[in-house]
Amino acid sequence: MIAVTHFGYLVAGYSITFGAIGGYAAWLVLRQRALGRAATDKRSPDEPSGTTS
Amino acid sequence: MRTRVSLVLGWTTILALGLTVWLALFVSPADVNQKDAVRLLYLHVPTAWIAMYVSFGVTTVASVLWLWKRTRSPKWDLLAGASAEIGVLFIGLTLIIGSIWGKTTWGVWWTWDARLTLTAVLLVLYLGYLAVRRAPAATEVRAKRAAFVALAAAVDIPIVHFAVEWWRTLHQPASILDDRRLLDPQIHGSMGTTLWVGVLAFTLLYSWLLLKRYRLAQMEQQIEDARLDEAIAERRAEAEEAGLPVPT
Repeated sequence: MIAVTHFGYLVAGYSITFGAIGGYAAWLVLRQRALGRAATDKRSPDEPSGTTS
Repeated sequence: MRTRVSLVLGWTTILALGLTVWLALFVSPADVNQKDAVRLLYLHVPTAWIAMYVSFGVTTVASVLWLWKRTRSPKWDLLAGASAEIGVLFIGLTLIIGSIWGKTTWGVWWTWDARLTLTAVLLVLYLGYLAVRRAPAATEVRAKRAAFVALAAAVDIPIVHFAVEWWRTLHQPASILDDRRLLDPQIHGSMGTTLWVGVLAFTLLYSWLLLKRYRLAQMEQQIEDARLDEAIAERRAEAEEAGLPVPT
């Protein structure tokens, strides 16, 4: 791909696609972690949250 | 076990998507008429495949399984919702990439062509489906409403598919899912390979996203159920304190 036609359109198309998919995937992972943490905290209310000791 | 499956699937998906981008941008040749704009179709076709046929297909089947009393289980409702959300993302991307490609080839961002318009209607229908899922109601009631809306929305899928044959449209006819062309594909060489690798990569991506979204939906449901139990226990305690009869 040396002389590319429609370069801006290609950049826009690929950026939007992978940006949106990446954003959605990141939201899924982060939300799952947050809910997992919340569930763990709820199960052990005596233990201080966010500590391992 | 589930984490390992998710991990393996996740890395396989990343590799497959990387291969798709490499083939699409650096290996496959430019088209004689469309020039390099053809490279957008290596995203447009797989996203349309995932949205229309896979995601909304799974939502429809899962909704039927929930409505059928013999197979009714909360997992079908959660699966239907998870798949529809992914479908909405992909149908949105299909429309955006298609619009960008349309500008390069047709000279316009949008035209009220039958295929395009019906695809936009499909997006609105499934946004409505997701809105119904978010409306406050008892779990069973919400699942029933959502399942009926999913079946109503699914009516648009074959109409979108056959729109290019039933009406005179600007959109080209089916390139892959056409019985006359399935065994005699019109796309040859590295272009065809790139398209198939893209379809496979996006199918893997859908599987990974569905795995994650379904697990998340399960966790959300568990939290909602726990909150409901907590609220009921609080009301009962209040009633007992006030000396009111407590329903069992």
